[in-house]
Amino acid sequence: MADLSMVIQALPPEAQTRYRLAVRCRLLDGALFGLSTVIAFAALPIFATQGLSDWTLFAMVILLLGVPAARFVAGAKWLRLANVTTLEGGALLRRRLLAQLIKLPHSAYQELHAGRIGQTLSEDMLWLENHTAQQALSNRGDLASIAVMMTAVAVIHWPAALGALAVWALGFGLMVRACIRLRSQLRQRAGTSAIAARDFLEYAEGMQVVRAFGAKGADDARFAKNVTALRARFNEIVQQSTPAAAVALGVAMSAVAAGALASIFTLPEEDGALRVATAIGILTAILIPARAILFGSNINNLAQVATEALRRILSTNTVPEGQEDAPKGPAPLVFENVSFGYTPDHLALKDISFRAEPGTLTAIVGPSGAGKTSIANLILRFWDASEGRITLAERDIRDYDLRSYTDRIAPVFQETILFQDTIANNIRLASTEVSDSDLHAAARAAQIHDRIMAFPNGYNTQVGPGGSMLSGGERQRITIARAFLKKADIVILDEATSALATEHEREIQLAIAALAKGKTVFMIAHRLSTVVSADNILLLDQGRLVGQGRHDALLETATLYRALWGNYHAISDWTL
Amino acid sequence: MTLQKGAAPINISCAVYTAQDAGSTMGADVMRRIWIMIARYRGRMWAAILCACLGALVQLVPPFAVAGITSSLLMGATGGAVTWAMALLISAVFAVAAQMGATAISHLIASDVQRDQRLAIGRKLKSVPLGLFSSFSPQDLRQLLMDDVETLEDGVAHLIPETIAAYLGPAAMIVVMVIMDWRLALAAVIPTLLGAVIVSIVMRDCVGPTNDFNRAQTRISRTIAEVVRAIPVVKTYNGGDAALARAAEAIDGFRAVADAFITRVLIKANWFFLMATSNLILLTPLSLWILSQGQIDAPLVVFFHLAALSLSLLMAGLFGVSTRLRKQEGVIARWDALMQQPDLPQVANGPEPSGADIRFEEISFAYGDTPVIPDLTLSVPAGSSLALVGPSGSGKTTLGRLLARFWDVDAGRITIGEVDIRDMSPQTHAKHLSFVFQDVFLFSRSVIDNIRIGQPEATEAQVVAATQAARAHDFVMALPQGYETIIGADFALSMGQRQRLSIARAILRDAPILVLDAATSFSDPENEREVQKAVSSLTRNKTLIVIAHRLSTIRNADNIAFIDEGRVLEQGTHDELLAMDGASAAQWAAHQSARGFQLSTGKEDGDG
Repeated sequence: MADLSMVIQALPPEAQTRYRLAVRCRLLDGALFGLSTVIAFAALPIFATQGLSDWTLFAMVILLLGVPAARFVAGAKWLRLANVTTLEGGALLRRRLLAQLIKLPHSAYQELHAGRIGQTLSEDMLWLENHTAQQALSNRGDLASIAVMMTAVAVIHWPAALGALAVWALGFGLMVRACIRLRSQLRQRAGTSAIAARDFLEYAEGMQVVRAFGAKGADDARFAKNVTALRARFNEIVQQSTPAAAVALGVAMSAVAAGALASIFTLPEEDGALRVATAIGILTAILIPARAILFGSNINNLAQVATEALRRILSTNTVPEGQEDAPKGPAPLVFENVSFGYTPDHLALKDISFRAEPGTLTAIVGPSGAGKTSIANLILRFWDASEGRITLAERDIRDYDLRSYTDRIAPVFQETILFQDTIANNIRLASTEVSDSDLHAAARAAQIHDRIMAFPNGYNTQVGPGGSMLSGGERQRITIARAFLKKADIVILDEATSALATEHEREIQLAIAALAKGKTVFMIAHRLSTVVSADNILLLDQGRLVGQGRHDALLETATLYRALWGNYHAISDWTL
Repeated sequence: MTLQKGAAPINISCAVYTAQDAGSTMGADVMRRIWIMIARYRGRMWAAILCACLGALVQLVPPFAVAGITSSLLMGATGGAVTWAMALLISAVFAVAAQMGATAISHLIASDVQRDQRLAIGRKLKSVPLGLFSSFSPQDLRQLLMDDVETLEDGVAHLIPETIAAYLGPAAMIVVMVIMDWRLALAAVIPTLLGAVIVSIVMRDCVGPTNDFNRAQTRISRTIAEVVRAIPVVKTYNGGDAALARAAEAIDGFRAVADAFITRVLIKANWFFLMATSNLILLTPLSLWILSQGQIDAPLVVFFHLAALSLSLLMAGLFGVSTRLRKQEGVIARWDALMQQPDLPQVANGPEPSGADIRFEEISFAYGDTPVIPDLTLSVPAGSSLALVGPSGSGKTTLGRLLARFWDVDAGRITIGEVDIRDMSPQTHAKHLSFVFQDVFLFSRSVIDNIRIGQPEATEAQVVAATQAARAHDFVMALPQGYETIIGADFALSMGQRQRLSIARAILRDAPILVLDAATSFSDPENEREVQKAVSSLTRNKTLIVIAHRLSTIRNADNIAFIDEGRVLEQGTHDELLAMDGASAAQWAAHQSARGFQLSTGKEDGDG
């Protein structure tokens, strides 16, 4: 049997068998359709020779009662089976895709723009499911009809079949060429489209600035150029490529004509006329299911595109991980000669080595672009080091099962992502072992419990899309509450979080301080006053570790640190 | 409960979900909209439809041809049979020609329509209120410009001509059949009619499950889209279990609804499917019987069989069309989400302001249904500085944006130099106003072009002077091509560098009023010093409105207004506010204590 849709491939074998059963029922249905057509046509010559005989009556009964009954039963079967298995398969496939997305390295994820992925998982999946449950089956059913009818034609008067197949074979080459030419034109157009897409994005992004600065016409020329180029490319395709469907139709109809001519010239004597006419009739009837297949070619294309998009996601390499569970409880995290770059030609980190004992605060400071965020990204395994290794409890973090490893880390970043759900669900994030008392305790520690209780619906308050019903400071504390619940051993903190200078700055600071207690904390520090009591300060400059130690020691030994410190004071005291 | 500015009433990519939730219609509505979109090309479209219909009518030839062959063969006239066969061959040529003609013409319409629509979107982006851009993500806009307009190609080029032809063919066939022999025509059509009747009776209580099904599909798409957007963060919590759990919930919920849909709706559609493809059931016995009565001849029977079979193509046509209509539905919803936004009313010529003093006179403003500013009055004398402080979501950022005419106020007015900003031409308004906001957008052009944006006639010397004042000249000269360096993906400028370029822009414009969203967040400390110096030189001799986030930076402002829930709670100088011992004083105290924050893991305290 030909390729099964990805939706069905996602199913366990018994379910796949059920789909195959549906396909067989549809084939049967198609064959019955073909059979009834053959009987209807064949009744004519039989009637002509034998009148309203037993045979003819028998054929009528079959036609009238048997075939529809059989088709009804087959129809109920394949409709139910096909749709149910498609639904099941669709659900499984969606889950598989999500699981894959979660395992993708951060880099790959950012390349596949989130909006496009969302659309792939929703719209593309819908077309694919639609195709799987309906079009794929009707294509096969129509092919079965064609097969049955063609066989009948060959039996009744084989020159008719031969003539048609000969022309069809000749025309097949034409059809394939037309398809190939179209595809190459489409690929060419993709090139123009890529440039236009990039320019359109900038046009959209820059429009606010352009208008705010009264520079309305600035980008118009480039915009118009792209629009015109796209149109030109499109027209070229129309002019140069032959619509494949038209060719297919022409070939089909000519094949029928050829079959007819072949039959006429090979007319047998005595009573051959009606037999030959019947053969030609059935041959012409083949055009019906053939055109039904052509009707559905558009949906076939949509399904094809969807399959490619899904395959692209599934075939992207996931983060390499081991089997071992990461250890719970305090453990040292060590960077050993780590080098790393987002792109191969530029290293963001060069030969970084340091050791963070459990329960200590490691501050990461340095000018911007020094690599501070990179260190956080590496600890989180958003990216992996290109050289050297990072160990937790003396084992390379790549040897741990990814999920168990990331479970040990609680990041607190500026970016807050909340779901359109209740406050409670946003904090507990589907963790089923979280009791209400745990929930409240986490919220209290994050300095937000009282605020939540002040809402009319308390913890059941809806936060709106992206948490829009809450202020920035409130969202921040909810994320911190999440971190508390996680009971991780390591906390990664981007100090910019509290430096947002919201009206809840103090509360957020208290929350972070509570979170940090007793954990191994990494903090990307900006306000140097906050890290004066850090156990270890990593001083980064252009990807290199140019100093590490406690505050007083660094002040003495590192000029850069002194400069940063002085700078910090100047900045904090500035007024307009 | 304060509401965040981020609460966007519109979201393009979810527009179709919102529309479907509201139970918007499909089918005829979509066709109507497409028909309106091709208004300029109606003539060409009719030509395409004509070709498609000719192609459909050509499909009437095979039944006739085969009947003719039958009749000739029965009479032993081989030559006649051959003629009919040739007619079949020629009709094939005509069918292909008609089909290709229809496709070519409608594709040419499609490419022109695509161009028109892209230009229309471009124009629209220039006339909607600037504030809308916080609701549209640039990616959504790009998708609209690229992919959605492209998808319309199917709707415009194919859907209308093909749909018409798909129904015309069988319709014409029925007419011809009736003309030839109404009894046989009836026999051929009855199964299809019967199927339609059965289904409409049986499906009457199916509207509920169908709507539930569609809505559930929407919900699942929306949930999954939300989950996907959240994955980067959710990954690090519960290793993505949360994401999977949410999605699983939505998927399971969908399954339940879908099962009901399948049982109650789809299975019943079986009847229609069966009947619509069983046009021979009655026809064959009846035709044989009438034949036995000698009222008709064999060729006619052959004709009717072929004619009746073509009716079953109605099925294929129907299913294909509804799927493609749904795809168009999504595109049109997103199109509407943008194009139906009301434009910002702008005048071409207006009065000039008589100075640079600003007045907000009893203004009120609501964002969608959310009131942000109920009633506010504030004035800023020319050359003075006003700092806006207050909790986030209080409306202070909105004030700055209202002055910049991101939106128009709902009541009251904002004046510059006694002139309502709505009465000024956009050029006048822009000339008097500069903004420096948090996010700096730089075009992928040269540095000098970026700084000169809006001032193409500025000389290089003027640009350099402005850049020097913005403390950016040094790093620009350090770039590979200096001022001619193209900013792009090849290398990134730091936040501080981008801000200084943005300040250089503002200095170059030298507008009398400056709105400054001073939300530097310490993320670029060594550059921040430079940024602060740049801001100092920028703000000299201007009427200044600062949206303050760090209270220490605006201590010396001429007037500080504490905004909460869209109202001015207190205003005065820094010392006056402290003396009032109200909300501002409290915020100041909190800010001061926060400045002294030091983090530790508590190890030294012995309780770690």
